[in-house]
This record gives sequence, C-alpha cells and structure tokens, in this order.
Amino acid sequence: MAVIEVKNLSYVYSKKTPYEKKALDNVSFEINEGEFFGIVGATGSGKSTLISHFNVLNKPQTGSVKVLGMDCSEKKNFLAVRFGVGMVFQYPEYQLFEDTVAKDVAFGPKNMKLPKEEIDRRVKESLDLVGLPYEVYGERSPFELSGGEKRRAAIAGVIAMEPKILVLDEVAAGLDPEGRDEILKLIKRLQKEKCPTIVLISHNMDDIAALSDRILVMANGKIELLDTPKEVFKNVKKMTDLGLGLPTATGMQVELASRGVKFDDVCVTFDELASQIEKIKAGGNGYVS
Amino acid sequence: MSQEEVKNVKFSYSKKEENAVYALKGISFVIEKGEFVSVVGRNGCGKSTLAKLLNGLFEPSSGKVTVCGYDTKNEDTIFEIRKRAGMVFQNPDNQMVATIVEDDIAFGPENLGVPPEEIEIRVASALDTVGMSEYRHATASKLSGGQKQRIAIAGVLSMEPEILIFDEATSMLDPKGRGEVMSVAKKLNAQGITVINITHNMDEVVMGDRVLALNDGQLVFDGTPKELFKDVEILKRAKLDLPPVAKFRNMLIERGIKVSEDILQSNELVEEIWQLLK
Amino acid sequence: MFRDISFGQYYPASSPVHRLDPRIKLILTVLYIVTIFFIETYFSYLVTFVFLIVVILLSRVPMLSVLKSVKGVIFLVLFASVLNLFFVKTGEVIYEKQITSVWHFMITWDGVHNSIKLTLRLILLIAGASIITLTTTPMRLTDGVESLLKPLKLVKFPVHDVAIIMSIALRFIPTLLEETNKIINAQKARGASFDTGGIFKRAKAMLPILIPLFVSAFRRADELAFALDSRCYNATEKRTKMKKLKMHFSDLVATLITAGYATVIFLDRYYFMGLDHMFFPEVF
Repeated sequence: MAVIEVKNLSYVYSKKTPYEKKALDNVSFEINEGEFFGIVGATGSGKSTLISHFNVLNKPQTGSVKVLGMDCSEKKNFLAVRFGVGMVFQYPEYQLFEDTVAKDVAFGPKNMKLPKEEIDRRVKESLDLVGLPYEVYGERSPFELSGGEKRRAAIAGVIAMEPKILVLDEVAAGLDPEGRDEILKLIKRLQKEKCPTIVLISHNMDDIAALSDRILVMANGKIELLDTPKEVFKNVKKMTDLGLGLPTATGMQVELASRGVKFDDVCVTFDELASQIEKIKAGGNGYVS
Repeated sequence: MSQEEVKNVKFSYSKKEENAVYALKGISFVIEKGEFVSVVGRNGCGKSTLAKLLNGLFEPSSGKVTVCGYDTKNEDTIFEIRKRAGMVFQNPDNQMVATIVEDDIAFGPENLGVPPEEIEIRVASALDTVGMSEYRHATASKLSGGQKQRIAIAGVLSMEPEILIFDEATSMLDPKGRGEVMSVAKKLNAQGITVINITHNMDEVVMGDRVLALNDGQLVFDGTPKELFKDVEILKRAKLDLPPVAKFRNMLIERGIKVSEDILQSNELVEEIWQLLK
Repeated sequence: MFRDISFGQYYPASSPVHRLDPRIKLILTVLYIVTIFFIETYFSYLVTFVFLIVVILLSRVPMLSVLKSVKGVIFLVLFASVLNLFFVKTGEVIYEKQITSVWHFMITWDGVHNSIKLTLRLILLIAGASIITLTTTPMRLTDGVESLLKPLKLVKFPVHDVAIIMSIALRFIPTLLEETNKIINAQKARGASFDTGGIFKRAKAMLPILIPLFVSAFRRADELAFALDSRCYNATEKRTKMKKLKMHFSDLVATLITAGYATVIFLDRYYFMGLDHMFFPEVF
C-alpha cells in the first residue's frame, strides 16, 4: 500500500522574478508502507524541496501529494499530515530549545494535544529508544549534551510523535565515527520497532546501498532513476556523471570487471562482493582475459 | 626544520588551578615542514582544542607551543604566528567577514597592512590556486559548501602561510565538496605547505603521511596511517573507524582470501584481488 | 517566509551607479531623503519619480528588485496612509457619519491628498534608499561609512571596529534569515503553530524559534571571533585597503544631477509656492 503518492509535482521558487528557479519538474512516484526508501542527489537537485512536501512545509504548486491517503493541498489535512510524517532535518540538534531534554521531547506530543500520561509515556519510551535513558538524561539541559547525544535527543523529539513515516535528511552528517555508527544502528532499530516506513536522504552511497529497499536518484528537479540498489548502481556512468558516485564495493567491482573478471551480479555491499570473489576463486572460472 | 613544536602541553578551559579539568593532559610532538598530518579522535578527545593551540588562539595552561620558532605565549609575536599558521574552520558560513568573495580574501592581508597593489596580486593568485577565479565578484553566501570552504582557504592563502590547519573543515560538506577541499589541500602540500588536518573521515587520513590519534586528552598514537589501521587495540581505544577499503580487506582475510594486512588504497586492493583471481 | 526578502542585498552589475564612490552615494542618498520630506506638490512627486526612474535605469538593476524592497513594507505604508485618511479633519468633506457619541467618522479632500502624498513619499523614500544597497557591496558601503566617520577618530571613537561590525552584520543577514526559516520549518514539523491564539500565546509560540536562533547566533559569533583572530584582525594600526576609495569625474556629475533635482524641489516649495496650480489648474 502506498503511504506517500506524488503525482506530476512541480515546484518553482521565486516565481516571475530574476531569481526564478525550478526546483521540481513533473515528479511522480510512490513510497510503500514498510519500505526503506533512499533518496540521493547532488546539492540543489531538489531533494530538500521534495521532502518538505511530505509534511506540507511546501504546498504543491502543480501536481498533487497524498500522504497516508490525505491530500496535501487541503488545509484541513495539514496538521494530520504533519503528525503522520516525522521529519528529522539536517543538524536537528539546532531545533532544541527547552530547558530540559524531557520537556523538549514533549514539545511535539504536546502540540498533538495528547493527555499528560500519554505524553509522559512517549517521552520516556523515545528517550530510552534513542539511548538517552529518561532517568539519566530527562532533567538535563539539552545544551549540555555532546554533539551525538544532542542529535539523538532531537530525534527522540520527532519519534515521540509516533509518526507513521519517518524522514531523515543527512542524519549522520558531522558526527564522529562512533556517533555515526550509533545513529545508523538507531535507524535500523526504529524501523523494526517503531516506524516501518523510512525515507533516508544521504550522500553516503555505502549507507544508502546497504539500507534501502529502493533508491530515488534526483538531478535538476527530475527523477533520474528509481529502483532497487542493484539496479540503480548498475548505471555506473550515470551515477558518476551526476557526481554521486558508487558504493565502495561497486567501485572496486567495476575496477575488477574492467580487468576482465566476470561477475554474476552487481554488488553494492562488501558482503556481496566478498561472496562473489570467494565463489569465483573457488570455481576458478571467473577469469576471462 | 620543525614548524610546530608541542611540548608537554596541558590545557584547561578554567584558569583556576583548583577546578581545572584538562582537555589536554600533557601532549608532545613535533611537525616538520612539508608534512601532511592528520589528527583524529572521537568528539571531545581534545583535537579541536589542540588545533586552536597550534596558532595561538589558545595558550597552553602549562607546557609550550612553538610555531616557526615563535612561542605562542608571547603576545608581541602572536601575529607572526597567525599569518604563518592559517586556519580553516568547520562551518563555512561562520568564517567569512565580507559579502563579496574578493573582499573576504583581502581581509587578512589588509589586517597585516600589505600594500593595496600587492593585495590585488595575492587575491588573484589565491583564487587561482583554489580554482575559484571566476567567482571573484560573486556573493559568498550563494556559493556551495565546498566553494565556500575553498574561499576560506584562499582567505588564508592570501596571508602567505607556511602551515594550513583544517579544523574539521570538511565535516559539513557533501562528498563533492569534501573532494574539492581535499584536492586543494593535497596540491598545497605538494607546493611545500605543511598541512594539519583535524578530521573524522578515515579516507582523508589515508591521504596523509602521518596521523596523530588523541583519546581523552592524550596522544595515543603517532605514526603512519598504515600502522594506525593495523593497530586494532588503538583503534578500539580511540573509538576510531577503519576506512571502507580496510574494512573490506579485513572481511576478505576473515573469509580466507589472502590479501596484505596493511592495504588502505582501493586500487592496491583491486590489484591484489586481481592477482589472486588471475 | 523570508525567502523573498531582498532589501539590502547587493545586485551585482556593472553600471555608472555601481561605480560611484560609496561616500558620494551615502551623501546623495541622505540628500535625497531629506529632499523628499520637503515635497509638497504633485509636481514635485512627478519630478522625483522621473529622477528615480532615471537612476534605476542607469543602475541596470531590474525594476523588480527595487519594487521588492518596497513590497516588504507596503503594509506599513498602507496602514499609515489609511490612518491619515481617517484622522485628517480639515478641508472639504467627502463623507461623514456619526458612529458613536465620541467617534465622528469623516473623510475629507485634505485627508485624501495627505494619504496619497504620504504613500508616495514613503514608496519613493524606500525605493530610493534601496538603490544604494542594491548597487553597493556591503564592503564598499562600510568603507564609505568608515571614511565619512573618520573625523570621529579624533575623539577616540572606534571607527574601524564599527565599520567591521556593520560589514559583518550585513554579511550575516542572509545566513540568519535562512537559519530562521530552517528552525521555523523544524518546529512546524513538530506541530507548532505560530498564528493562532491571543497575543501572549503567540509571543510564547515564538520561543521555540527565538531560543534556537539565539543559541545559534552566539555559536556563530564565537566561531567568527576565532576566525577574525586567526586572520590577524587588529594585527597592526596601519591597516591597508585593497580598494582605496577614489573620487572620479562621474561622482561630480552625479552630485550635480542630484543637487539639480533637489534644487527643483526646493524651488517648487519655497519660490513658486507649489507648481501644481500651474500644471494641474483644473484639479486645484
């Protein structure tokens, strides 16, 4: 079942001015329930404009966007759509503002006008989920936390709204390797336990390839490709020309293939590539000069 | 010739002895002219503090930092240090003072009292070096992240530095921007400028000749990237990641495919796999 | 929300107006603004309008950019004009009605003229003032201010620091606007609404925007301070300038044209006692 339906969507910034810019150009696709949906594209390709339609921060100018069956052009749906789609923007820690972590996480649920007990339950649950146990972190100031902790607190503030769809924009940017690992583990856990439909924007092709069921490739406001990671990264030249690159594993596979090694299939993760190499080595017939 | 000499340096943000919490707990090393040194470590390990000690933005609480022969504690020669050791910061938006590119690049030499005609020449040559000549009259805030950081580098180059310190200068950039900045860094290093790159990105570490790893205010490793990425103990202790290629190398070794244990470059690994399959 | 604000943003182009010495532009802008406040007649407004159009055409800034600056304050202008319309009680009455015992609603010809003139005055003022920021880079503008304020150095006024502060403020306007937008979006995504409830509720609703904005502004200020230090700010008293301000012949021409324009306006007011009677006798 499609939870987000985008049909013939176009969007122009600063219409009829010298600064006019077409950010989206007749874009159509669907995101299904339970799907891990990756979006890639160079800076300025229209990704951000696209996802800001998912919870009506931008209203459709032409075309339509339906979220969880609700039309994003109708004003009466705005709040319901915003509560249905959790948005974790780039550097989400910059949205923290309350004097305690718990209060900040409660901001979303409070706006949803939930009963107090329910808010408390959600605050505790989401803080525990992101690895900032309520008992330890709940009463601390969000501004005293470390960079990685701040980011997880901000994510807790979004998942406390228990959205059906979670959208994450460059969620690991600027973190140290340890922080990156924690965030990526958290995303996998969130999908399993909390929010099955996830939209992930990333420049890291290794992450995107390993996590996504399908990948949407954008350039100049248009859809270039939309398919499984394997099918997307088969387009070696296109992905390189768009300045997006390939997963490290695919890059090495391409190098090996150019020397004459024959593979059964495209590999997008190290695991797949290692298995293929193992197989070729054992069979001894992978080599063509 | 040594350009950066750090000797038994301790640093605490609090000036009072009794409530001093040391961000750096006694660090010593020497960086020679022309080196490309990476500094790594988890957030809060003290590497950004260290960066700011390297051009006298901070003074050590104890110990001594000498840059090109000048002690950073000496107020009279502080600008001798800062013009020789230029710094590029993390957030491209927070280090530009002027709206227009060329005005921003001229800021350093103007502060130093360089004659106007000479500044013109320096601005042009700095822009050329970072490959941004056509943006000389552009509005800086409208550029991409990678372009902004290259302008920041040009702003430092116009002071004709001997040392370039990157304080997580690529962490907010996309891969394209990161590539642009690192290739400029490489190019400058090849021209003899010492590069000190504080980073979280292990691929950048592979580009350098030497790496310093910090953990909890202490220097836990000083050697080549190859040595670092073999040292499982240190990597674990300093919470460091392996570069993707090294991860794959280990995966292959685990599966009984014999490749060398210290490979870090993708093309080297491809070559070895190729030899095995041939 | 703030994406369309363009006031104060430099429009890069090569034109005689762009090339004028910023000091001259500052002085002429002040002269223009003062002159506008002396305008009494529609004739003078016409002259000002023509003068402004000529300057805009010479500057090669698209008319739209100038209009945009005006658009930003149009509500303020209309509000002031409407107030004028209702509160001026002199002149021939057009319409009147006793609404309550104390409020006597009345529109008069004087009120109509007053509010039309106020609207024209404010629009011409803003459009004219925006030309200087549209055609002068902030750096040159601050250089101009610095140079004009130089005499204050004698009384130990930190002229250069003030100029730098001004330059940095201008430089950070777009950055902070963008940041504000991002924060607003992030809080909206968490279900915040900023346009419902009474005034206190609305003020309170601004906190989730203002606090992160201040935190971020302070963080930026901190980092900027390090950047200024490491780029040798205050290294020497003998600071130089890449681009020295220099007067050209064109600056003289610009001064003469503007002075000529101002003379016409002053003559209209004080010598001819309002040329409207001569040009539009049927109206008055």
